[in-house]
Amino acid sequence: MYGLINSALRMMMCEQYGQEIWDDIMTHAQLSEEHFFVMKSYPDDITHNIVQAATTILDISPTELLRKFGHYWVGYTKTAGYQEIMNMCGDNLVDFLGSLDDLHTRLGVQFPAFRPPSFDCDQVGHHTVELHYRSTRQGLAPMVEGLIEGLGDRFDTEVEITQIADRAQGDECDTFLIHYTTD
Amino acid sequence: MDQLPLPQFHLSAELLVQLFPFHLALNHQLQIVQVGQALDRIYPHPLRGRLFADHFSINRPRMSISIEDFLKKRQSLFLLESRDLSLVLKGQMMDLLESGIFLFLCSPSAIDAQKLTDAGIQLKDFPLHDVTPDLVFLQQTTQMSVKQVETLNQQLIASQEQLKDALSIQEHLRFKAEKQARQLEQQLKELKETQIQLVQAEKMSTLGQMISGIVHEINNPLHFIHGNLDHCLNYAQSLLEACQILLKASPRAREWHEIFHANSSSSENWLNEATLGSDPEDQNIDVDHSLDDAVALASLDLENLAFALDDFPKVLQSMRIGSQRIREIVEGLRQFSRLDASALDWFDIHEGIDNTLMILRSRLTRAKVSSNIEIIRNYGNVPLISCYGGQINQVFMNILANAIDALEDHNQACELPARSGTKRELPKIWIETGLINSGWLRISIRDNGCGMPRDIQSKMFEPFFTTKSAHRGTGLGMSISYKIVTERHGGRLRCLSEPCQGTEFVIELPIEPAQLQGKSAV
Repeated sequence: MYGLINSALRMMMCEQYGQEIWDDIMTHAQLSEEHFFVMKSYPDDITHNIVQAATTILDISPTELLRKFGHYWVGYTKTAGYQEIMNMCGDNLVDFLGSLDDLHTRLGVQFPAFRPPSFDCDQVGHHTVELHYRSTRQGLAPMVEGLIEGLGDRFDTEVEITQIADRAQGDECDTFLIHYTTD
Repeated sequence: MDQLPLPQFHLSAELLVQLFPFHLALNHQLQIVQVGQALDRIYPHPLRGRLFADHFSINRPRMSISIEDFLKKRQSLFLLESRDLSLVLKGQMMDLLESGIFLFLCSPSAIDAQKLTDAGIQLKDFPLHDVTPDLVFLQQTTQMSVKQVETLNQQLIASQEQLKDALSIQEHLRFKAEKQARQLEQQLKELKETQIQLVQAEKMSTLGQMISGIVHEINNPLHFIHGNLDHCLNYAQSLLEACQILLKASPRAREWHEIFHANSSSSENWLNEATLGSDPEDQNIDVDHSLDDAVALASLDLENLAFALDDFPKVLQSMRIGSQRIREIVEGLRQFSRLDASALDWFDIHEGIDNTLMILRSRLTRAKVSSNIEIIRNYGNVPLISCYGGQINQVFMNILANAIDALEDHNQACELPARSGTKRELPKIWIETGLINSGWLRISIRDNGCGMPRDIQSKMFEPFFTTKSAHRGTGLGMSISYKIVTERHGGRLRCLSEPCQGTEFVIELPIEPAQLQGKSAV
């Protein structure tokens, strides 16, 4: 994972739980890094250890933590310098979800060690889309769910998300049925 | 292997619009005839049919807007700036000769995402083959990294400043600490010197008390001896006169006298010179006369002679007792000061107490009280203890002198009631010794003086604390005593007192201290 992810985790923990909790998490994860460089690729184990330690210290499930992180990620990318790029990706939820795959493809060009996930977005109803998520990493589907919620907030769109396919259950990919309502 | 011929195909206008969504097509009148779909969408008004020069300027290459220059510069990289939007297009000018059209294939030159979004350009406006969005991403990522580096740099600068401040403070503190250390060292030196002076003053004070007592103790037998010397001389004179008469009356005795006189004539006979004054020959005593005649002739006072014969041995005996007393005092004094015992030695505490009392006896008998202070000793069967005897004696001296002071003060305080006839308890000091267990002994010195309240007791062993007037001590006596008992001997010293109930000092000492402190000057 690139340092951008770990930086976002740190920022979320400090903002929502405080610096002391973050210090505890780092101690529990047996990590000593004070800063994660956004352009540096770190072993996935570091991110896993942080998540594992955070679930222990905060006494929440990994699913809940990743969902919260996905939600937080949308806001974080704005503050971290990707605001304009996010703006270029569309001015509504469906356009944005539609450009999500291209966005990750282009990020993959920028970050050579990045193994970007892929997203297919199909309009399946008047206010319903299906988002198919594929990744070489396991267990990050809850983060995608939080990401969709965050995007709903970003575009003032109410979303109702149902996971209709689960890779952990043997499906080919994780699929989310998203029903959205705009004012 | 022959190359396959290139397939013949034409790019449709629709496909061109999709592939180059920002392109422009100009005719030879330099009129815009076609616009890419993205450029068309973002532009505030339609460009078709407008003159190119009205809406665009050419930043690069340097050229005029003319057909000739377009043809001449067609291999150049063109930068067109919109006159209506904040937008620069970068691309190449192509001359489609057969159709008389100049085709400008381009993309926005900006890689600043903010400028693109300000111009209303979205990611989907770019064809997928266009690398501009990648450059935009790269620019954003670079900016983000630069921003992070700047943040870290600022943090580093702040940390350096903090470190600099901390080092400065540390240096200041070090300097201050060194200065304080020097001051403390100087003060400690001065304090030690003062302490030595005060301890010396306390010793002198104790010595003063001792000398006063010793002088008194020695004076009594000395006066006695001196007073008896005149009697002795008188007695001796009477006896010598009798002997002279005996010599004259007895030829045999005269022979012995002449032999003795001849041998010692050159030596001084102070008794003869001092007491007889002259030779018996000068007194016209006839040696042939009988002894009675001689006695009568010499007018010898037989009554005096008889008294001298009776009293002289008694006087000598009493002088011997007096000198013996002086000897005992000197020995007691030597034992008290134990000048020869600066190291640990076996010590008889009873002997120490008795010697101290001997030195203080004048104060006990001359005490400014209505009657002598009675000493009640109740000595237990205690062994010798290993200690610094001279210092333990110093403790006894301080406590007993304080007890006498307390009894004197109590007497003065109670003088009025005494005169009024109220019966008052006679001043007493009880001294008790005994074993606490096989390893410790206890010495109690108690008086029936005025006692003291608790607040004074709590300060009793503090240096320089005294309730006495300035000329009656330095205020160090009890402090030094406490130090001697606790630090030098590992013992305990307690004060038990109540106002009007007297005061008791309890000294508890190990018989053989396991671990003693160094021999610091006390």
